[in-house]
Amino acid sequence: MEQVAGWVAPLATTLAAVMVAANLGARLTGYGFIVFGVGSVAWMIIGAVTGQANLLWQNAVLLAINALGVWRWLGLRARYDKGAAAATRATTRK
Amino acid sequence: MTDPRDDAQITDAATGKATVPTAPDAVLTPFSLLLGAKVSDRDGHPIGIVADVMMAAAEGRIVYVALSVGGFVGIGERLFAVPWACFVIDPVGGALAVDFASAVLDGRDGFDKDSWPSAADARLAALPPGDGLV
Repeated sequence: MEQVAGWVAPLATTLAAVMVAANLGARLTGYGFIVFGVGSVAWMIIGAVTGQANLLWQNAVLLAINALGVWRWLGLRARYDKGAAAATRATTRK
Repeated sequence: MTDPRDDAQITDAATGKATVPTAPDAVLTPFSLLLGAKVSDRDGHPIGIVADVMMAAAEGRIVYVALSVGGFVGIGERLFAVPWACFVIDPVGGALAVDFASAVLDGRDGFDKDSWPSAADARLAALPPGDGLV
Protein backbone atom coordinates (compact mmCIF):
# COMPACT_ATOMS: atom_id res chain seq x y z
CA MET A 1 0.00 0.00 0.00
CA GLU A 2 2.84 2.36 0.79
CA GLN A 3 4.24 1.92 -2.71
CA VAL A 4 0.87 2.67 -4.32
CA ALA A 5 0.32 5.68 -2.06
CA GLY A 6 3.82 6.87 -2.91
CA TRP A 7 2.78 7.21 -6.55
CA VAL A 8 -0.83 8.29 -6.05
CA ALA A 9 0.01 11.12 -3.64
CA PRO A 10 2.24 13.24 -5.90
CA LEU A 11 0.32 12.40 -9.08
CA ALA A 12 -3.08 13.25 -7.58
CA THR A 13 -1.77 16.43 -5.97
CA THR A 14 -0.19 17.59 -9.22
CA LEU A 15 -3.26 16.77 -11.31
CA ALA A 16 -5.54 18.50 -8.81
CA ALA A 17 -3.37 21.61 -8.78
CA VAL A 18 -3.59 21.78 -12.58
CA MET A 19 -7.38 21.30 -12.51
CA VAL A 20 -7.93 24.04 -9.96
CA ALA A 21 -5.35 26.43 -11.41
CA ALA A 22 -6.82 26.06 -14.91
CA ASN A 23 -10.12 27.57 -13.71
CA LEU A 24 -12.13 25.68 -16.32
CA GLY A 25 -15.45 26.11 -14.58
CA ALA A 26 -17.11 25.35 -11.28
CA ARG A 27 -17.63 21.66 -11.95
CA LEU A 28 -14.04 20.89 -12.96
CA THR A 29 -12.72 22.96 -10.07
CA GLY A 30 -14.92 20.92 -7.76
CA TYR A 31 -13.59 17.68 -9.22
CA GLY A 32 -10.12 19.11 -8.68
CA PHE A 33 -10.81 19.30 -4.96
CA ILE A 34 -11.93 15.66 -5.01
CA VAL A 35 -8.61 14.72 -6.61
CA PHE A 36 -6.84 16.89 -4.02
CA GLY A 37 -8.67 14.84 -1.39
CA VAL A 38 -7.43 11.59 -2.93
CA GLY A 39 -3.92 13.01 -2.78
CA SER A 40 -4.37 14.02 0.85
CA VAL A 41 -5.50 10.51 1.80
CA ALA A 42 -2.49 9.04 0.02
CA TRP A 43 -0.15 11.45 1.82
CA MET A 44 -1.83 10.51 5.11
CA ILE A 45 -1.16 6.83 4.41
CA ILE A 46 2.48 7.61 3.72
CA GLY A 47 2.65 9.69 6.87
CA ALA A 48 1.11 6.93 8.97
CA VAL A 49 3.22 4.12 7.52
CA THR A 50 6.49 6.03 7.77
CA GLY A 51 5.75 7.53 11.17
CA GLN A 52 5.67 11.13 9.95
CA ALA A 53 3.01 12.63 12.20
CA ASN A 54 3.45 16.10 10.73
CA LEU A 55 2.69 14.81 7.23
CA LEU A 56 -0.29 12.87 8.53
CA TRP A 57 -1.88 15.76 10.40
CA GLN A 58 -1.10 18.37 7.78
CA ASN A 59 -2.98 16.31 5.23
CA ALA A 60 -5.80 15.57 7.62
CA VAL A 61 -6.34 19.33 7.80
CA LEU A 62 -5.99 19.66 4.04
CA LEU A 63 -8.54 16.88 3.57
CA ALA A 64 -11.06 18.90 5.58
CA ILE A 65 -10.27 22.00 3.52
CA ASN A 66 -10.66 19.98 0.33
CA ALA A 67 -14.05 18.79 1.53
CA LEU A 68 -15.01 22.45 1.92
CA GLY A 69 -13.83 23.05 -1.63
CA VAL A 70 -15.98 20.19 -2.91
CA TRP A 71 -19.02 21.62 -1.13
CA ARG A 72 -18.25 25.13 -2.36
CA TRP A 73 -17.84 24.18 -6.03
CA LEU A 74 -19.94 21.05 -6.51
CA GLY A 75 -22.57 21.49 -3.81
CA LEU A 76 -23.30 25.17 -3.36
CA ARG A 77 -22.41 26.31 -6.86
CA ALA A 78 -24.38 23.44 -8.40
CA ARG A 79 -27.41 24.46 -6.33
CA TYR A 80 -27.04 28.07 -7.47
CA ASP A 81 -26.84 26.89 -11.06
CA LYS A 82 -29.93 24.71 -10.64
CA GLY A 83 -31.93 27.53 -9.06
CA ALA A 84 -30.84 30.06 -11.68
CA ALA A 85 -31.67 27.61 -14.46
CA ALA A 86 -35.21 27.36 -13.07
CA ALA A 87 -35.55 31.14 -13.44
CA THR A 88 -34.26 30.91 -16.99
CA ARG A 89 -36.81 28.19 -17.82
CA ALA A 90 -39.64 30.16 -16.21
CA THR A 91 -38.85 33.29 -18.18
CA THR A 92 -38.27 31.43 -21.42
CA ARG A 93 -41.86 30.16 -21.37
CA LYS A 94 -43.27 33.69 -21.22
CA MET B 1 -19.85 56.12 -6.56
CA THR B 2 -22.21 55.77 -9.50
CA ASP B 3 -25.89 55.10 -9.27
CA PRO B 4 -26.83 52.61 -12.00
CA ARG B 5 -30.16 54.37 -12.30
CA ASP B 6 -28.29 57.23 -13.95
CA ASP B 7 -27.58 55.06 -16.99
CA ALA B 8 -30.85 54.69 -18.85
CA GLN B 9 -31.36 51.39 -20.63
CA ILE B 10 -32.46 51.98 -24.18
CA THR B 11 -33.71 49.16 -26.37
CA ASP B 12 -34.23 49.50 -30.08
CA ALA B 13 -37.97 48.96 -30.58
CA ALA B 14 -37.51 47.55 -34.06
CA THR B 15 -34.75 45.06 -33.43
CA GLY B 16 -35.13 44.54 -29.71
CA LYS B 17 -31.39 44.92 -29.40
CA ALA B 18 -29.96 46.79 -26.50
CA THR B 19 -28.09 49.96 -27.17
CA VAL B 20 -26.49 50.46 -23.78
CA PRO B 21 -24.69 52.20 -22.36
CA THR B 22 -25.51 55.37 -24.23
CA ALA B 23 -23.04 57.62 -22.48
CA PRO B 24 -19.74 57.66 -24.36
CA ASP B 25 -17.92 58.46 -21.16
CA ALA B 26 -19.44 55.54 -19.22
CA VAL B 27 -17.00 53.84 -16.88
CA LEU B 28 -16.78 50.17 -17.80
CA THR B 29 -16.72 47.61 -15.01
CA PRO B 30 -15.88 43.93 -15.54
CA PHE B 31 -18.81 41.66 -14.75
CA SER B 32 -16.50 39.32 -12.84
CA LEU B 33 -15.98 42.08 -10.30
CA LEU B 34 -19.55 41.53 -9.13
CA LEU B 35 -19.52 37.77 -8.63
CA GLY B 36 -18.66 36.94 -5.05
CA ALA B 37 -18.30 40.63 -4.21
CA LYS B 38 -18.93 41.78 -0.67
CA VAL B 39 -21.92 44.08 -0.33
CA SER B 40 -22.43 46.77 2.27
CA ASP B 41 -25.67 48.39 3.33
CA ARG B 42 -26.32 52.13 3.11
CA ASP B 43 -24.52 52.67 6.40
CA GLY B 44 -21.42 50.80 5.31
CA HIS B 45 -22.15 47.67 7.34
CA PRO B 46 -21.46 44.32 5.66
CA ILE B 47 -24.75 42.78 4.52
CA GLY B 48 -23.76 39.85 2.30
CA ILE B 49 -22.07 38.71 -0.87
CA VAL B 50 -23.16 38.44 -4.47
CA ALA B 51 -24.08 34.82 -5.16
CA ASP B 52 -24.93 35.52 -8.78
CA VAL B 53 -26.36 38.11 -11.11
CA MET B 54 -29.47 37.50 -13.18
CA MET B 55 -29.73 39.56 -16.31
CA ALA B 56 -32.04 40.10 -19.24
CA ALA B 57 -29.28 39.38 -21.70
CA ALA B 58 -31.21 40.37 -24.79
CA GLU B 59 -31.92 43.77 -23.30
CA GLY B 60 -28.46 44.21 -21.88
CA ARG B 61 -29.62 44.90 -18.37
CA ILE B 62 -29.23 43.38 -14.96
CA VAL B 63 -32.58 42.37 -13.42
CA TYR B 64 -31.48 41.37 -9.97
CA VAL B 65 -28.54 40.38 -7.86
CA ALA B 66 -28.89 37.15 -5.89
CA LEU B 67 -27.61 38.42 -2.57
CA SER B 68 -26.44 35.84 -0.06
CA VAL B 69 -27.06 36.99 3.50
CA GLY B 70 -25.74 35.21 6.58
CA GLY B 71 -24.52 31.65 6.89
CA PHE B 72 -21.09 30.20 6.24
CA VAL B 73 -20.05 29.20 2.71
CA GLY B 74 -23.69 28.84 1.84
CA ILE B 75 -24.78 26.90 4.91
CA GLY B 76 -27.61 28.74 6.63
CA GLU B 77 -27.62 31.58 4.13
CA ARG B 78 -30.69 33.39 2.82
CA LEU B 79 -30.87 34.53 -0.79
CA PHE B 80 -32.63 37.73 -1.84
CA ALA B 81 -33.41 38.95 -5.36
CA VAL B 82 -32.26 42.53 -4.94
CA PRO B 83 -33.13 44.85 -7.84
CA TRP B 84 -30.06 46.21 -9.59
CA ALA B 85 -31.53 49.68 -9.09
CA CYS B 86 -30.91 49.30 -5.34
CA PHE B 87 -27.17 49.06 -5.88
CA VAL B 88 -24.57 51.74 -5.82
CA ILE B 89 -21.21 50.72 -7.24
CA ASP B 90 -17.79 52.22 -7.35
CA PRO B 91 -17.01 51.30 -10.97
CA VAL B 92 -13.27 51.55 -10.46
CA GLY B 93 -12.69 50.02 -7.05
CA GLY B 94 -15.66 47.71 -7.30
CA ALA B 95 -17.10 48.56 -3.88
CA LEU B 96 -20.72 47.51 -3.92
CA ALA B 97 -23.47 48.75 -1.63
CA VAL B 98 -27.25 48.68 -1.44
CA ASP B 99 -29.17 51.85 -0.72
CA PHE B 100 -31.13 50.42 2.20
CA ALA B 101 -30.31 49.41 5.74
CA SER B 102 -29.44 45.78 6.46
CA ALA B 103 -32.31 45.74 8.97
CA VAL B 104 -34.70 45.75 6.00
CA LEU B 105 -33.86 42.08 5.49
CA ASP B 106 -34.15 41.10 9.14
CA GLY B 107 -36.81 38.50 9.71
CA ARG B 108 -37.49 38.05 6.04
CA ASP B 109 -37.24 34.72 4.31
CA GLY B 110 -35.07 34.53 1.24
CA PHE B 111 -36.25 32.99 -1.98
CA ASP B 112 -36.32 29.28 -2.77
CA LYS B 113 -32.73 28.28 -3.51
CA ASP B 114 -33.84 25.54 -5.87
CA SER B 115 -36.13 27.77 -7.90
CA TRP B 116 -34.95 31.31 -8.26
CA PRO B 117 -37.53 34.03 -8.99
CA SER B 118 -38.13 35.38 -12.46
CA ALA B 119 -38.18 38.96 -11.20
CA ALA B 120 -36.59 41.07 -8.51
CA ASP B 121 -38.10 41.14 -5.01
CA ALA B 122 -41.05 43.51 -5.32
CA ARG B 123 -40.76 44.51 -1.66
CA LEU B 124 -37.22 45.73 -2.20
CA ALA B 125 -38.09 47.31 -5.53
CA ALA B 126 -40.77 49.34 -3.76
CA LEU B 127 -38.33 50.86 -1.31
CA PRO B 128 -37.80 54.54 -2.00
CA PRO B 129 -34.29 55.16 -3.38
CA GLY B 130 -31.77 55.81 -0.64
CA ASP B 131 -34.28 55.13 2.07
CA GLY B 132 -34.88 51.85 3.87
CA LEU B 133 -37.64 50.85 6.18
CA VAL B 134 -35.75 51.93 9.28
